[in-house]
Amino acid sequence: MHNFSDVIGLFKQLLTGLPITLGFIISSWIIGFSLSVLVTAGRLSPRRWLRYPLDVLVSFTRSIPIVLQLFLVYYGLPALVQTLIGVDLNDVNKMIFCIITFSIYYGSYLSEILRPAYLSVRKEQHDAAYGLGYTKFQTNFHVIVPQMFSIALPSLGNEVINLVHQSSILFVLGTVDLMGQADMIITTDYTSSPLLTYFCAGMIYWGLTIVITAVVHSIERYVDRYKQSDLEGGTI
Amino acid sequence: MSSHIFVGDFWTIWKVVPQTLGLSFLILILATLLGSLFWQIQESRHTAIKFLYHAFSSYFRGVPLLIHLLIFYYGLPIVIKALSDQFNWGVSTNQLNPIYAVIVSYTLYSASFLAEIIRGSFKSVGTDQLEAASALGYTGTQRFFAVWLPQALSEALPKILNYYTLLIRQLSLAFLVSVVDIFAKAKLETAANDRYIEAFCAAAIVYWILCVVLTLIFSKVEHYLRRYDRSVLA
Repeated sequence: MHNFSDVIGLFKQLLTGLPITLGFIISSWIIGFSLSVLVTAGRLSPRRWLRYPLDVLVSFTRSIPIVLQLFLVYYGLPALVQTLIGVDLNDVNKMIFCIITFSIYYGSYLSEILRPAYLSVRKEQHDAAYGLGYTKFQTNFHVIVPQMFSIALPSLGNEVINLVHQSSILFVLGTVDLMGQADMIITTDYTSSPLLTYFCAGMIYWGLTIVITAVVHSIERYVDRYKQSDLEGGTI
Repeated sequence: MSSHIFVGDFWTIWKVVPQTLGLSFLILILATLLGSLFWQIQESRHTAIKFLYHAFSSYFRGVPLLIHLLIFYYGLPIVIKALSDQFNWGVSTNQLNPIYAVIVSYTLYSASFLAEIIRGSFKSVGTDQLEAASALGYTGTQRFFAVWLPQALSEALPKILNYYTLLIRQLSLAFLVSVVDIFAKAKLETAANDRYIEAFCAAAIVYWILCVVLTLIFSKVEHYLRRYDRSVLA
């Protein structure tokens, strides 16, 4: 039977993978989110040659499991680059392929959250801003986007948690993130219990989820601070 | 990329579509039933039960599905063996089919999400509807089946069907415990002929077709369910 110090040691070894997991999550989120802003802008544009290909991309990434997309990029991208420009990508770090996959996935997936949020801001808001002499960019930047975020934020928070959970699949490519450490412990140490190891890894993911949920809630409260004062004044 | 390998892979993968859809459907039904039960538990008046449910649901929503799957894969035989020894069922757990681990873990995970959808749908029916039913002399059962349930269902069903397409995609993790679904079949194909890109592209196309067709059908269903909402607006 496992005693307490064994469990502590197990947590210590699992936590060595945490920085890689966190680094992956942060970089994928930043690139993916920036990409999704561009994709959303493209899908809202009146130009059909821009809108239709992006709609197809979003439909594709939404329909296919992330693990399959990961394998597609991991095996497909080096072959594609090899045939197109003749550069060998075989020595590139696996983590780069993971970040590329998740950036594309979230880049198109998040536009399904941002686009309805943009469209839900009422038309009068645009009219009022134009009436005040704002340019199109100023209108979007100062008037529409701040309102849009208060609508999109809860869903975006859910997607961050989704990203954390989905990052657990990376170990199938042999990365040494949190789940990769768990896998390594089980395959190298015959005395280890897979059940306990996965449970401890699960606890770390659970902790991460709770922290992110709390952070998202406090951001939501900050963004919605004007809404509440509206309600209190009874002027809604 | 060779086209005849791609076509061959495509048809091989296409053969596992019925079992993938069936397994997802079974999980969806079980999870919806369990989710309804969770909704009732959540409404319980006992603080202890409420607290236990919150801890349980936070755990199932806070830990990745992949880890639930692996925990049940290793844990389920141990639990069944202990129960079997206790009550003399005489069940042999040496050859426990991993599909049970998939069903149990996916059902519990999905139920914790579906409970929220079900709760929200029942809540979205206004209390005025229920009061009107009472005023018309409906009994509690009549009120539930004739007024509350139909309205809640038209709200919940589109979301539950949407969850079904998500389940089909989530089932791709089952390859880790050697349960064969669309993605696992593609992986088996790559192991057989060592052609990765063809098999994965074929699987991607299969998933794409499935999702587009299902989404189309489900939006028709949603349109049908909301036919009274529109007539009120028009």
